[in-house]
Amino acid sequence: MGTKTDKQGREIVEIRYEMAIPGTFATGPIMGHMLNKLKDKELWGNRCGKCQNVLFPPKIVCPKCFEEPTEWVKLDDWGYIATFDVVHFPTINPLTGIMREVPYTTLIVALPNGGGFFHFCLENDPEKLAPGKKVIPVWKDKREGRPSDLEGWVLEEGQ
Amino acid sequence: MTKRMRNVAISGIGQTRHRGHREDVNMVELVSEAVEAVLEDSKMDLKDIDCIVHGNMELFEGVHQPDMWHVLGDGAYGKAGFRITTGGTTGATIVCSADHLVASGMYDSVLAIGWEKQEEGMTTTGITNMADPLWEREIQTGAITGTHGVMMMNKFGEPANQAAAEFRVLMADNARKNYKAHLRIEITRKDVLASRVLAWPLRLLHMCPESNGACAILFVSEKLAKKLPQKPVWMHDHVTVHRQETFDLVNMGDLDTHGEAARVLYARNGILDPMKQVGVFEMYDPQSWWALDWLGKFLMLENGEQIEMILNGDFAIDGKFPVNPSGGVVSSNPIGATAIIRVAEAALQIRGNAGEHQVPKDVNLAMSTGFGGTFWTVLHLLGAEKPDK
Ligand SMILES: [Zn+2]
Repeated sequence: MGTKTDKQGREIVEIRYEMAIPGTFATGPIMGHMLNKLKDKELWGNRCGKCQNVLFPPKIVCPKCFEEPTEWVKLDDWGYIATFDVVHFPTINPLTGIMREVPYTTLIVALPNGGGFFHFCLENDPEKLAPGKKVIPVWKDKREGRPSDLEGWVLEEGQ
Repeated sequence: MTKRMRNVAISGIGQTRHRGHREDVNMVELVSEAVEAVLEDSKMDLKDIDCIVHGNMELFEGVHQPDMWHVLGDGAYGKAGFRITTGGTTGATIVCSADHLVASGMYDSVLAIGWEKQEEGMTTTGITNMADPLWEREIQTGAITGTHGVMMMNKFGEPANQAAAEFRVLMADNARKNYKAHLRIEITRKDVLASRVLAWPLRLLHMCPESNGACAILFVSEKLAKKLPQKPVWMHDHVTVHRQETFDLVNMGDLDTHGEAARVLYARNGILDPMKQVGVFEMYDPQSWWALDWLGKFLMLENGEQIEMILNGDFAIDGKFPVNPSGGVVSSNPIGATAIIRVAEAALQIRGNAGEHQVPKDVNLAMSTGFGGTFWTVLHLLGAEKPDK
């Protein structure tokens, strides 16, 4: 129990506590296949047999055709910046409960053969970033089959 | 207009004064302030209300099923009750639900309540927990994003930067006329552009505050509306569009849920020129860069005409097409209440008793919107006359 006063000097009585909610999420076979492959530093998406679009992260149905994807595709390990966000306002990482260090950058990576996804960009200078620039992944040494197996994406040399 | 079993009217409106700090009351007491205000406004006796629809973003305060706890503050004891929680659009969806419950003939009076006590809990943690836990949750950083600003800057350059800042100044000017607004600040364009960067080109003053507040609206049948003292505001139509899982992330223009909602609403209601036919627009504007982009989408301005209009003052209270006379979401954002406040403010403008921020003309039609995390749009159309007239 902590107490403080309002502007008029009246006591405000509050109860303080922190909430921790441990969670475990089943991936299912499709996301599970892709996440498992991250351990081998490989990006796998699935392809819709109708529109030929590659979905990454993979999905159970193509959001455009509503058809079940027909095959797994190993993706090139590079992409283009679709858009980016250099964030200067710290927020809590909901998976760790720890305040993020700023600045940090998120981006949408567009894959050369279709599709796009959110991830981190390791370059925080907006002057150096632009839609269309080529980025490559940086992998963590220790990988456990989750999105953070990728440290993030960096500009390819010469970009 | 859309098919209706019977007409539905707004016959009562109640709001708290939205504030950054409300440690003097608990959640139940905060909600009861709005409920007492709507009963006073409508002169309706709580015992005559059939049903309560209640909503907020429960991850923000971390209280599961708060409607159970709030029973003694919201008047739901012994009545039918529904709980709605659709993210940022919660308040707007509550209105859709209350409208349907009365229009269907199920109930003659439904009290819709949206509320949030943002100081109790972590808003951004709540928001990021909405992202799918298998990929995006590790990356998602909440509503503080400059991507729309980046796109507007790429397309329109410095005039867009000036217009986003000017629109924020207009919202502050309006909020100072609305004593219920949270931020009633006096700022200039220069102040906005000098405020610190949150996510370039989004700056602190472009962004909404975290507010505590509640809003309640009484929806009634036509028969009951005639017995109540307030001028009834008639529900005409509403459209909901969302498509988080099906949009193409690479081509962000594809997620035009606002434009889609507007096209459907205008077509169904014979609106050919929204700025001529609609008298006032209460738009959910969580940040001024979004406002700048979204004005174009809702008003079908394909070439960024809203930039010039903002700089001309066309969206001012006494301008050509008043937008957010209340001061908008950048001035007050008790999230679960925010979208229902838009409806309440639109209705007040039609009633003509909004107070100091009343637009200086008769409002026949008004629009309001809600927006939420999963690229979710709700667009409402309200009128001074019955929709079937
Ligand atoms: Zn397809």
